[in-house]
Amino acid sequence: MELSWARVTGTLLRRTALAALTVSIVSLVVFAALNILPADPTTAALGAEATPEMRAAYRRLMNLDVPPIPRYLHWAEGMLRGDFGISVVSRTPIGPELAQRFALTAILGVGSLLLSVVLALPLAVRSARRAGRLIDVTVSAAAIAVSAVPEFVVAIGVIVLFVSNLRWFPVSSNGIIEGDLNALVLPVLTLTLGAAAYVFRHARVSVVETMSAPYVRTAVLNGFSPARILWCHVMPNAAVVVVNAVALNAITLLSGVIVVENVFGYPGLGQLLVQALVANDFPKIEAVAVVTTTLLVVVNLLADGSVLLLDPRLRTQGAGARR
Amino acid sequence: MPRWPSIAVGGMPGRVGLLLVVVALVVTVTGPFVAPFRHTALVGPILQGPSVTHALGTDQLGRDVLSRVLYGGRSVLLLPACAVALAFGLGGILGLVAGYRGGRLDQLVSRGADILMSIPPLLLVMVLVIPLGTSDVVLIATTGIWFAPRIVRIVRAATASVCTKDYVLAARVRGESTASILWHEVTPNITGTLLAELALRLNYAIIFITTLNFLGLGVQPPSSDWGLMVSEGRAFLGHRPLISIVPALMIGALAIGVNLLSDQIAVYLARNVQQSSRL
Amino acid sequence: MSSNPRDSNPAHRPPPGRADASPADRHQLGDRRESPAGFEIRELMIAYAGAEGLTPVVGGVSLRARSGQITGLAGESGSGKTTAALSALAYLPPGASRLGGEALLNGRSILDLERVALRRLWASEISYVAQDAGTALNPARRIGSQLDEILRVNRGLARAAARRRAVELLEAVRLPDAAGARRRYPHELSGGQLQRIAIAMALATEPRVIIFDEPTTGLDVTTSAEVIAMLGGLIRERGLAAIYISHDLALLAAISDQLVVFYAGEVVESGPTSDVLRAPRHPYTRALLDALPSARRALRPRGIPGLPPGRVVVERCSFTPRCPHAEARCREEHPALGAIQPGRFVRCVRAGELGPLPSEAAPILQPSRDRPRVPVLEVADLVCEYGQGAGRVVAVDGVSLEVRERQVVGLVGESGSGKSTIGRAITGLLVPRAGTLRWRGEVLPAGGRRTPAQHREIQIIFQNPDSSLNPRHTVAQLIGRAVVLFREDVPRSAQADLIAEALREVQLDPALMSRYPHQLSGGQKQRVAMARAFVARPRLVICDEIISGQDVSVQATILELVRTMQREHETALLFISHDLAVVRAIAQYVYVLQGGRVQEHAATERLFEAPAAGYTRRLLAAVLEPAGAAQDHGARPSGGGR
Repeated sequence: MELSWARVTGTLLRRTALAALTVSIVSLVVFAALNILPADPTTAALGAEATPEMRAAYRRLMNLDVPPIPRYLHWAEGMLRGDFGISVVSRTPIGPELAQRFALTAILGVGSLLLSVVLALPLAVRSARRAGRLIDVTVSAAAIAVSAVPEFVVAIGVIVLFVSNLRWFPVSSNGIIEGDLNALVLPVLTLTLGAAAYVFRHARVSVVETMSAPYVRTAVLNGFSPARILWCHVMPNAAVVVVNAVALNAITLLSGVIVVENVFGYPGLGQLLVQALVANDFPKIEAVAVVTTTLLVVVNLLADGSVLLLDPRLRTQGAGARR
Repeated sequence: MPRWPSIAVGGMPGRVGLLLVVVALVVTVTGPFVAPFRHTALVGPILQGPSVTHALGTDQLGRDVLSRVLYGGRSVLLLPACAVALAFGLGGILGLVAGYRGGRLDQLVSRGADILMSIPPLLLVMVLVIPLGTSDVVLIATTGIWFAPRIVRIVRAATASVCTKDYVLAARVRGESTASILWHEVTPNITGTLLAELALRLNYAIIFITTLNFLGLGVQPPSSDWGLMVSEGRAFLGHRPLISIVPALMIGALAIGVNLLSDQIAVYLARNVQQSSRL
Repeated sequence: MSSNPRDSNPAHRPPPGRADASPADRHQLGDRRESPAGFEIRELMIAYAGAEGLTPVVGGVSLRARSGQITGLAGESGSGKTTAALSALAYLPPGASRLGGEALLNGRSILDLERVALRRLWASEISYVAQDAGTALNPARRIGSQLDEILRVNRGLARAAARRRAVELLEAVRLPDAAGARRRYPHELSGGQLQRIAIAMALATEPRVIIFDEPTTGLDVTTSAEVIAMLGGLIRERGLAAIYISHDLALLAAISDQLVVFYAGEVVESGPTSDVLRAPRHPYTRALLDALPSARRALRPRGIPGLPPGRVVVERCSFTPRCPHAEARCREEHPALGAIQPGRFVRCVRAGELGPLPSEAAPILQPSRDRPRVPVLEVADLVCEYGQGAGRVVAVDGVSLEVRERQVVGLVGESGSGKSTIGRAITGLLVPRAGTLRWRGEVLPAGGRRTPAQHREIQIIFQNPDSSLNPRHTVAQLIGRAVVLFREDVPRSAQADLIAEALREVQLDPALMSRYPHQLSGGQKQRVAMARAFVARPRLVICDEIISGQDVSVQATILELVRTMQREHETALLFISHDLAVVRAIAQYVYVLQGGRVQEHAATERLFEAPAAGYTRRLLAAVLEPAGAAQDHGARPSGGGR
């Protein structure tokens, strides 16, 4: 056992290093895309009609006379310190706004993820146990439909149903800033549906496959009750696949978040990014990009860690002398 | 390979999937020839409901919605297809070689793929659009490059598992060259997996590119791409919902169809593997 | 017995008849163990539902397993023995349905119980030990957790008591380091350890009946022998009624009291084991015994031509197409299982007139001592390693051997002895750490950089034809590859004919050319692999465990075939196997390998008659053979008979 914890920590450290590397690479690419690739950054930022004075002011603000590599390092070092730079549009520090938006997006994302698991797992188990019957076929069909289509199609569907016809909720979720929880409902609903469909499909397949495993036959022949077999024998094995699926889902969820924020006007990171893109506010774009990537990478790490904890086979080496 | 034709025909989900994809294909290919008007032509009063001349009504600029829908399938199908082809071309070869050789090359390729895969895609493309613009080529290239690592992973894993089989060893004992082994022995055994993955990637590519179009970061107006139409019609959902709903349904139908097909292929594969080990 | 807290608690006192009862109770035990109660199956019929309707796979099976006795179920794969046993436990495999018959436990019918009662039955009175313990245990839970669960849920023990009892059980099955094993996960233990644990779990519920389904398949000969010895003791000691399913007649001879032989879903012969094996009355039993190679006697195994039907045959006797004694009436009526003596049953209309069937096996003819031949393969001081650093394993540690022209050399050893590694090194799949390989006098370059002639002259046949034949190629393409590469003497137009000829040589119909591997049986696939190897006109063919994993009757056929091919093509063979008996049947010279080193090497007869090395002697002693496998034909039996 002592050996296995060393292996786990080793693997996690390696993954963390990889994660840090990923964030660095992304920040590098983003920086390069915005600052180095464009022929003239001032045109890209200010437009072709900018006056020479505006361009000069911009160059001073953005330190454009400094060669790219020290500029990047200076900026990266600032990020690590927590200084996210200054928006060229509002001339205010990006940090506080970033934090607020980050919190709002986190609520949206994490909330939807958790809700999706809560919704999908029981459905998946029920479907798996009654595989092929009406309830399974209907729910599976719905899950396929929802998980196959882009998020914005789901969003439009939600709007048509709940806003146009039922008029239960407002279409704009701006109100969340004032704490109006109604504004959360539709975005969360849309994201949850998409994520739940995805988790459902993977969980269902996993449970069905596990149920036909030889060790389940052993449990049956040991005379255990169906409940015990399901929860103590099937689920521990199926759980690994489910966690993996949830982790994979995190990336898709992030893209979904950007779309959902856009559709419902939810003031989160996604919206911030889009506003910054429209306004060509490069420092803001860079800052949001890095923060988003870090968030994603951390979620992936957590998922990796849980998979390692759950699947004993990954922790230790098979000691059996297999020919 | 006499068994392939029965893939999509077997099973209800497969048939439904095939039907949906075929319908979308037909609309895409024949649409522009069948449409009553051109997709950019201003042919009527704005925001009219369905009528005899305009089966789906007109949009906010007075263009015929039906015609726009019929013109709009091109980018939804063509761009993702090209992107997936690119990804398979790049990733397939890399994965094949890495899976066969193993060792340090394999490790390097796998690590590289891992890193690339953890990069948030939408983010990356959005950022790359600024310096590179929103042309079709940029869309295809960025999507293809983003998918490539995943393909590398899949192909590598499939190749590696095939290479543990004795028939690959037997070929090595016979003194066959690497290229010959990869072509004769390995590739026929991974085509199934590749096909399933191809269909799945197509699904993701469709989602990805239509989402980009929806957000305004892909094809630009006056294109009648379905994603763009959904976005433009957002403001009128209460008043004239068809402008958004019809293209949304088309996207949905195509995406579901491709997804069902890929599922069917995967099921077919699993059954085949079982059969051969039954004896 | 140890101070068992259960004894003090009246609620948990085990009913009499259990092995851990107090000595006073054991007195009463005496008569109960001898009673005819036990597990009985009557006329069980099972069918699978398929596209063409119902396919019967078990037809009218009846047998009785008495307490304290082991009843062996013998038969090859597809004979229906596992289906019959599981169905008798009321566990129908998916797609199967019971057409008739019943199963009785101590007189109580169990096949019509409802779920809850059935679960209770499985939880406390009947246990089943599956074939592959590795997959039968839950990979996500520790051994201790799984074992304790049975004790707590099925026997109602408290946590601490369950833990103690679990350790007792693991010690009873002679598992080394019981406490340590409890903390481990299944994938951390070896096959032999897992099998013992599975047996412990079966014993935990203190059942009356245990069914063992090939529990030692895949284990080493020596591990296997230990597990069996332990089992026999446990069963008789606790008065269990045991059913032991196996395809291995030798094993059943060693362990079972009663023997039931299965063929095509029916019982074709049954009775006391020694009687059935010494004087078989059914032609199939006789053929099965004759197909077994022997390490103790110099006899040639005989294959059974044809294939077994995959279902119950009701119109006639199912063995007719392959039976040397078949007559007209065998083809007309379906024979019933008749008693030729009390407790002795045979399903054959000619049983009465044929009497006990004598063996048809012939002694091995030793080749004449012809002039000394030139060595083609010379291996000197070969060293092969796997892995790096701390995980480095030396698989072959300084092995030297030699194969001469047209000679059959056997390489025998248990798993881990390095025999397969040697084969890989010779074919160039593995680069040796040290040592030289010479082929016809010239040094073979390490790795794959060989001349085309060298590639052609050294061929290999692998163990598992499912893995060695590309599933996406037809038989014609598989053999055709070798033809294209190695038979440049044959023009394009004549290639198809050559392939047909190659197939005929291995006794396959050339019409099979267009088939894919999954459409062939195991034996047919291995023959295709053989055809592929020999069509190249090699000088040396390495046979790497080519018959393990096949049914007994198929093994003998393939063995015969490979000998014939070797003689006709005048090739040398390096025959690698873990099975001493098989090596004796085919090789002229034998090398015995252990731990990567050659323990002994000598001409076959000398090695088997008078083994010099201690290891060889131990290996020979551990080999199980059925009593009366063949009658003497003048060949001197050697070693300890049974």
